[in-house]
Amino acid sequence: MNEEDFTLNIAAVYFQCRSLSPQIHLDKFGSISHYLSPDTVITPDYLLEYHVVEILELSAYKRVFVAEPETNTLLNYKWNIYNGPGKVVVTVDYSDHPTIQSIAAFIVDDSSKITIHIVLKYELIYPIVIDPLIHPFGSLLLLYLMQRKKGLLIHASAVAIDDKAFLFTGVSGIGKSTMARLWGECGAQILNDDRLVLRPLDDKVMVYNNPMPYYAQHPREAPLKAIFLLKQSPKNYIKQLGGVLAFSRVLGNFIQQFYQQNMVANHLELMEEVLKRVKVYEVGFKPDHDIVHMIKKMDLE
Amino acid sequence: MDVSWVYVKSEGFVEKAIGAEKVLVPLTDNVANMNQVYNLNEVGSFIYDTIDGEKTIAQVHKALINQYEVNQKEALNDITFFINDMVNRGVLFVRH
Repeated sequence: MNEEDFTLNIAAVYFQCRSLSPQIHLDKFGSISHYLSPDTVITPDYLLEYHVVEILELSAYKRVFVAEPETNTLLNYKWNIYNGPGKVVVTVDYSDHPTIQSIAAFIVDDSSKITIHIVLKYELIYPIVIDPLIHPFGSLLLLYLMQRKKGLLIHASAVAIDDKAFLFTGVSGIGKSTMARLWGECGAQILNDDRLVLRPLDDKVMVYNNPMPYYAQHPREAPLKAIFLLKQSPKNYIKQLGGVLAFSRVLGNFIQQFYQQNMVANHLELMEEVLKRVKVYEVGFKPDHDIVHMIKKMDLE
Repeated sequence: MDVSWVYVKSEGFVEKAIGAEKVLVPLTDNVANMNQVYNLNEVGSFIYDTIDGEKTIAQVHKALINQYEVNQKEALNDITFFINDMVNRGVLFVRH
């Protein structure tokens, strides 16, 4: 460990963060502050090394994806995925970040060291402080690095009560946050209401929250007991889904931005690992506490 | 459909077996399109697995009859329906 290094524990995956350039200090007080690992002696799963470079050297790679630029009021950017033999490069170009022009992570198969290049907009007089998981770079990096540790990201809400977690997913606007709030009102802990990490470990699946771009939350985790696909309905019902139907219905809710056939195949394998251990239900609900009681009464073993 | 024809699988799909059933995920420019996934039932999966770019439809037909003890006509109907559907979706095509 260098003096300024720190280690993050996200979904029980350890990321050691290190700046190799005097112009940048990595911010441990931003979105990731609660994920700092107090444990400094562990061997990290990944070493993230941040360097300032003049330009991004990508001539050895083939660009396989250009994200449609999204206009938003907070930060405008576009991102790209490049492939090379045994390598993936994730790049983000920021049009209105005050100092950062681009950031790129070079992810090499079987290497735990991730080299991250940062291009600045101008020469700095004073060092700048940057979030090592700056949005949306951090989300893309997590997606790729989690896959190698059997982790999947899913758009969902999840709650935990008595060390049992329930996950709720479905299309945008279907009621993921509403469902989480209802459980919160009934005494459950809300793990997160937007994005979670699932990891099949031994005979169970653990669900974890992870750093989100715009809000701070302490790390939370619990063993997952069931996945619920939400439907709006005038009356409450719960219907178990099995086999290929459960698989294909849950599929679209997992976050996947993989541009290699083998990565898509790995993603599907991991999904199967999850669904072997956790049952999937369709749940129609009206937004009151009845549905919480109905789910609590289910026999999920 | 001529039973001497041979069908080939498109490379633009990632397949995942779930028990005896199967999910086919289309790739467009290497991007998985998770909103247009095809589910194959057990018989569909068997036909899909038997088609290998070498076997004729007559051979696939015979394999299906041996596996499921269905009558000849029913088996051919299943194969015809399945293959037409898969050809329309770009999953299978005739080898020339």
